[in-house]
Amino acid sequence: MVWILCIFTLFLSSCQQKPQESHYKEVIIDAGQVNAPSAPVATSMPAAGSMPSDQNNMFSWDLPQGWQQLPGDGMRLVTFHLLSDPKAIDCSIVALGGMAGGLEANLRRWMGQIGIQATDNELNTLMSSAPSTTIKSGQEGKVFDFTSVQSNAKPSDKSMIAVIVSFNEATMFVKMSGTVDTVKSNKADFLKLVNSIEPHMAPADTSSPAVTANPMGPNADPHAGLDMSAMGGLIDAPTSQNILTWAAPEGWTEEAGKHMRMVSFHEMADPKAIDCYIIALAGPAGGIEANLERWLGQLGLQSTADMVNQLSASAKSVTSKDGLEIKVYDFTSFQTQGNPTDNSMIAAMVPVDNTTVFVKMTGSIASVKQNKDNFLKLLGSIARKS
Amino acid sequence: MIKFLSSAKISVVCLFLLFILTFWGTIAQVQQGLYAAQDRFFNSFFFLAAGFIPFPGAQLVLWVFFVNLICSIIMTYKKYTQWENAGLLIIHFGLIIYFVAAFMIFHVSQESYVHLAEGQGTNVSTSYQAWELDYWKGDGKERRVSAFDTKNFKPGFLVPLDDKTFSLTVNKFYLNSDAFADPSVKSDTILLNISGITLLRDKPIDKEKEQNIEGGVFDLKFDNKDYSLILYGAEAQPTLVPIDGNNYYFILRHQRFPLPFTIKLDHFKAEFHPGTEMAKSYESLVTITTGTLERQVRIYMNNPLRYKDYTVYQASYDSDSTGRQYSTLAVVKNFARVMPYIACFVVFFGLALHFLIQAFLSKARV
Repeated sequence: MVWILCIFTLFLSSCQQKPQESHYKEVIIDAGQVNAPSAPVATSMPAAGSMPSDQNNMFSWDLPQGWQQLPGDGMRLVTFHLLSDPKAIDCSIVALGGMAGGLEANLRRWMGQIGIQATDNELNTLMSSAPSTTIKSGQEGKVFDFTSVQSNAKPSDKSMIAVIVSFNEATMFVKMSGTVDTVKSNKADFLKLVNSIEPHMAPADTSSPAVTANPMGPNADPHAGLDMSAMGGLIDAPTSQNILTWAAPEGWTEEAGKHMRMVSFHEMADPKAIDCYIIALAGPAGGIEANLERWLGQLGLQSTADMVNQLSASAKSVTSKDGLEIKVYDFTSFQTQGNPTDNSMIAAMVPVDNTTVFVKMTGSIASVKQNKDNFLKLLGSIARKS
Repeated sequence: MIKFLSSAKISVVCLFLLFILTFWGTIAQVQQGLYAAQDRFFNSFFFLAAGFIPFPGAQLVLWVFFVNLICSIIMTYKKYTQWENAGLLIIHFGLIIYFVAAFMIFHVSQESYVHLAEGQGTNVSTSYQAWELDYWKGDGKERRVSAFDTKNFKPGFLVPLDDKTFSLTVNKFYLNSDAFADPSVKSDTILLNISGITLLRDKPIDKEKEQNIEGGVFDLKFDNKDYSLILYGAEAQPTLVPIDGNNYYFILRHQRFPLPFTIKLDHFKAEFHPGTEMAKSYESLVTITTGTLERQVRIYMNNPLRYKDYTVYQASYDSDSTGRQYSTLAVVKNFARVMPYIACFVVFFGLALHFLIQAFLSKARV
């Protein structure tokens, strides 16, 4: 009896083997823009950083026929090449917070990259005459086709076409670089790609819950109020990745990190008085000057180069628990004429490994001044996680 | 020898060991996870207690117990020919059914898992060890996936595709591999890979099968052009290849098993012992959808979800770098699931019959 059952079991076992080919329907229910975490690529893989990231969830698009899609790298969300000749063009999508340096600065930089020397007038003409295009979700973008100002260039000269689309809290850049010839011949596909892009983040000018209330007003830090879970990772950074340890100063309460923030702090006595937090962004995160300029603008102060220089010069250093030299920028010292209830900020920046760590405290001038000592204590307690 | 093996002392020792293993294994699941504990306590012949004391695993104990039972039946078979011992015969038959059920469940049942974040759902479970090459056309919330078991993959194997728009031939295939994104790698054909991988290298096969990551280079041909499609088992996203105006997605991943329901994780809750990171309990609140019917079920330790041949257990949990928690639910498909119940009923019937007969006989003697 037992042997019969055993043989029967073995027979069933062989029947259970999956046929070589099978078909099934897979239903995917997403949790917002979240991907299941990917298994790590072998640690010895030299380009682990180029593995697909959650960033791709920020936008979707239709790949033009004959194009190849490659994962993002650094700031790039994605890279595209031609299947037939991968080196002919280099197309990418990049999304940055806020105005990302401004239109003029970006155009100048790109023109420099492809060797175009343009006067201010020519640049203004390029900006004012740029045609518009719309992405799938209806947002309008400007097309900057540099081949149009390269009438004397050889077909093999470097060139570029770029589309800039502004959202409420971010700017998307779609760029295709190559030679004049290849950029021209692939322009139609490039524009098709642009037209097919659909953002999966909070649309501009809506009260979408993806953008949370920001106590600093509409010009506030683009990192401060964004719901990064809906953005799918706007900026190339290890969001909320706890690379640091710290100790909350006495009288402050600590809240678990949310979205991009590693941690948030509030005053125990008046939780709305200040909003202090730590975030880490990949690489230089725009650089010190650009960030200072942006923050000055947000506080309604003159964001001139002179002010940026003054602010830089007035920066104090605080040594963290493990010896990091943290630069502290106190904006209250530039608001001597301001009303104590005006918005203010004290910010600290320090490069840690491959990231830039920002520690910021926002609130009224009075609250920021009152909590400055605690802020400095917090900086002193910061250490890298072993 | 048979007489020795039929000893009731062996039965008692086996029952005692099974009691210890069941208790110990259940407690250990909290810290070690369901599958690690199962492997250690129930799927093993021996394991080391406290790191150095050999202790018999449930497999060994059950085999000894089975042999003991058979030997005792052989030694006492004459007794079973008497009608007043019919109950005992039925009881022993019931016990044999128990063992056969255990054997079948161990060797025939299909074990897989689903790994979900809150809000995520799926209608397929994932194998722990087996791999498959998948492709589908177009992206969306519902994919018609064509899957090929990689067991037969070897260089030169032409993957028998239903879709004749393109052809796929295995060029290289590794049961365990490392991936490299070396831009200096030269290739005669265009390399296609979503992750920028340009090179796969063979690795020795790990004895822990779950640790192996398959990888392959496939010759993809369409529009009379040849491409090299590189697929690596650790990639989270499929490689997109536009072919004949359609977007095709290719991925090498652990085998998927279609489930007769869709499972969506509504909420996951983990409680820890105060001041420690040691889990006290964890549970998943899931919505099960079958056709148009939906029901919410709470799955926690020793309280699995049962649906037809499927049992879904709370197995473990983890979190990603953003702090989002994921619940891992073990899915066991087991058509022999009812056999232990049958065995239980048979033993109960045998016991009842035996007591009734004995009661009748003692009354008759009086």
